[in-house]
Amino acid sequence: MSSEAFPVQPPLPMGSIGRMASGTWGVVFLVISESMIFAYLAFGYFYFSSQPHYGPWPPDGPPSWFYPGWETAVAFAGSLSVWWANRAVARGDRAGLLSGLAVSLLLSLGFVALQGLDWYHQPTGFATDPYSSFYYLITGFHLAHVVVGVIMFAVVLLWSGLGYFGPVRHTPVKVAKIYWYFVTIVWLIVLFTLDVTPYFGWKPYQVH
Amino acid sequence: MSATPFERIPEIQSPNPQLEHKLEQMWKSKPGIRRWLTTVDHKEIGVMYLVTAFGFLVLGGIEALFMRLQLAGPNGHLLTAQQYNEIFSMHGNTMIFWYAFPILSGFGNYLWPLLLGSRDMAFPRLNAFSYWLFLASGLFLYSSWLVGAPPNDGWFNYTPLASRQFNPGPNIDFYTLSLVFFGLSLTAGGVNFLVTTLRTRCPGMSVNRFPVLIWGTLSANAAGLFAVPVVSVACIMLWLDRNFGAHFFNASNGGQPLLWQHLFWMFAHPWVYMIVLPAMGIVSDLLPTFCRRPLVGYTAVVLSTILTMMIGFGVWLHHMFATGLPSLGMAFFAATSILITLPSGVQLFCWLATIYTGRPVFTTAFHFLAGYMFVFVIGGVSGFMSGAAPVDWQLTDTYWVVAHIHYVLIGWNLFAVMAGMYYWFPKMTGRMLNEKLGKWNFWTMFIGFNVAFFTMHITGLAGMPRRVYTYPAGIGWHIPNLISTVGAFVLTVGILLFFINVFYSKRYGVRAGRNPWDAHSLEWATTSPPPPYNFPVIPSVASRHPLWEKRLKEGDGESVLERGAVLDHHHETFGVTAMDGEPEVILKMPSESYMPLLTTCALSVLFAGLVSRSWWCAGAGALLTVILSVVWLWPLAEAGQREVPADVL
Repeated sequence: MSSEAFPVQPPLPMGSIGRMASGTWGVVFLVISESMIFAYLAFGYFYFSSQPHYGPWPPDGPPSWFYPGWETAVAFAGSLSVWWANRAVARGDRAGLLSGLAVSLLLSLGFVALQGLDWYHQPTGFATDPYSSFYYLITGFHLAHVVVGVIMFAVVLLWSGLGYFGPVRHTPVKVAKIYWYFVTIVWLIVLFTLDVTPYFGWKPYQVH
Repeated sequence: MSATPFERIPEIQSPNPQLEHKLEQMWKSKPGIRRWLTTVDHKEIGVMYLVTAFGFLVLGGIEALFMRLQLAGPNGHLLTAQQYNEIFSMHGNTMIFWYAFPILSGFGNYLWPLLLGSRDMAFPRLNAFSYWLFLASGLFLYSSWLVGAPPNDGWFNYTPLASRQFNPGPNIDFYTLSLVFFGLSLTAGGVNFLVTTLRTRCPGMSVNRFPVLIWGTLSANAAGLFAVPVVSVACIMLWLDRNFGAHFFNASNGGQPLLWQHLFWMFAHPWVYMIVLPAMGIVSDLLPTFCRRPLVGYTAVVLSTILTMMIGFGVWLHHMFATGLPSLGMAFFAATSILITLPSGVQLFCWLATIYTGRPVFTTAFHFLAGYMFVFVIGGVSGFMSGAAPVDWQLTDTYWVVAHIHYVLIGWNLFAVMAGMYYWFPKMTGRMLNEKLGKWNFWTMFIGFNVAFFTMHITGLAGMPRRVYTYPAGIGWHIPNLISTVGAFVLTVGILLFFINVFYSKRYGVRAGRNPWDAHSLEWATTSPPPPYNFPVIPSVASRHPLWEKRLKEGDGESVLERGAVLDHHHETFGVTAMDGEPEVILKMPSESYMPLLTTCALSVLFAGLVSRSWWCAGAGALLTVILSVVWLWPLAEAGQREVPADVL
């Protein structure tokens, strides 16, 4: 190596390519940081649920699974369609890319609609009691991340329609995939916190 | 071997005037004022970070002097109680958030690509964005003076005093929103530092060859990604409590005021290490140069750095010993708080061993390093003492704690920052700082610092509580307070001497060559100041001390600095494998852009709308932010982001 400055002989790829693109690495660290938001929200929720209370937690009994159930299905379907879009673009299948992203966009909008309906049918408001404040805060934080996903899908669909992406260059499509996987996984944490643990029958110490 | 349209064999050359001219044209910033508004050059952004952070140091310092004047004698009446609350709150926030971390980000920004042998950070525009967010959030905080409502509940802003019920003005809304705003800067910067370390380095820069500053800043920024979300969440919750009637911290409605303390310290304790570890990295990197030998125990120092940061997430409860926690919880957190002194001790003994076995050169920078170790021990010992819960019960909320936090937050930061300035100023400007003035600078700062803050331990033991705006005569607090005030002014003189030295030496200083200290790391291989493209050819390194290799005879081969890949098609640098530093891709970097500044302006509109409760204004700011982000991220053909034929590249 002493005489040769640069040991690598084969040609190197150039520019923004999949796993090697900086954008891919950036979004991975971004979603790690964003995930922590939900870890801390869950900490706050469980802190409250384990404190002495003047009544049961949640006050009106465990929440209904109707909307959260459909939201779970929609989030997973969105992960599937954006995975499909990535597979299509890597094979040069333009129709598959566009349809996969369009379906993902519709599903993410569907998630927003379901969450809106869920809120609309809640008997309590944001300022009713600590439980409802937490309920709206946690689902609200998740909804905000879903809205970012909607914008992301719309913009990547537009760019795909303009023909920017092909088998080599499609980092934004991959970024949208990683982001939506994150939204889905975090949704499972939200679901577990808000909709599963109340069924465990934990009885916090109660003040009478 | 033929390359496909998306591939290229990097051309290998030695530096030559023709190549340097081509790179200069390609990389230099726009002329005039546009240079500062659009730059993506990490060196310019680093200097902007340093200058702005020093600006906040001056603001926080002026606030400190007001407090010291007020407390110099009993029954002071320079400030009213309310003004005193506002001043100590702004002083704490300014120093801890807008000075201490950004100053280290300044060093990090300036140095990383130089230390790692690349041409820029992984995300040059995101880098500019994190700077503008830092500046805008600081201005946002200070705009609270304009409406006469600065934060007034201290830097940790405890509820229920911070609730709407007891603090009805917009003061606390400025606090919560400015921290959320600043958190965006920290997250952007954190992602950038992490991806830069893992991806954009020169060939051969494997992880075990990183300078310790890289490890310190890396640990701090990785911790930031985990710790910053909690303060953002807590601030948003408090803001919702205050503006929309949520019940998170509001005791009268079933909320839990103590949850604020948990959430705040879950962030703020890691933060303490975040503003110290990069500074300790500076010490570990400078000592070898001034002791003429490699650092003793590189691996131990690096592992201790990472370990300190990890344990730093498990000690937050020691800020809350006096809140009536279960004794099992206190025992656990007292144990972790005392445990954390072990990795710090490992680093200290490695430094001492480096000096003991080396041949120290008593430059100003070395004086600051030695001073750093002195305050490191005092701050460490006082921390160890208050880590024990029964001792803490006696000391909590007294001036003892004020003494301790100034040793650890300012002492453990500022002395390394000063050493770093004396060390890297020649690299940044091409001129040396004056050594004679530097010695005066060190001794005034060192004496002033210890007189001001060591005395506060005694004031605290005499029973004086923190955050009182005055005290009566004849209870034994007058003399130690007066001594602290004198010390604070001596420290101020020291800092003024530093600024004088900078302004004097920038014009009249002795010219520095490439490597005035005969130092070991890669930044000294290029000219002082470095050209916009850092290195005309990308170096390849084969050891931890590329410039001392011939003397030390270490490493597997020889570092090659004078011959390497030119990468001169556009803004280009290598993307390497994360562990071994083997090139696997030629990355295309973006050039100058107004987008980071414009997006910051849009976010400022959003936050101005939130604090003034003008929802249409906030909505417009949010919409504008989204539009500008999409424009910013639009795929560019010349950056290799679109499927286009290679001749465009």
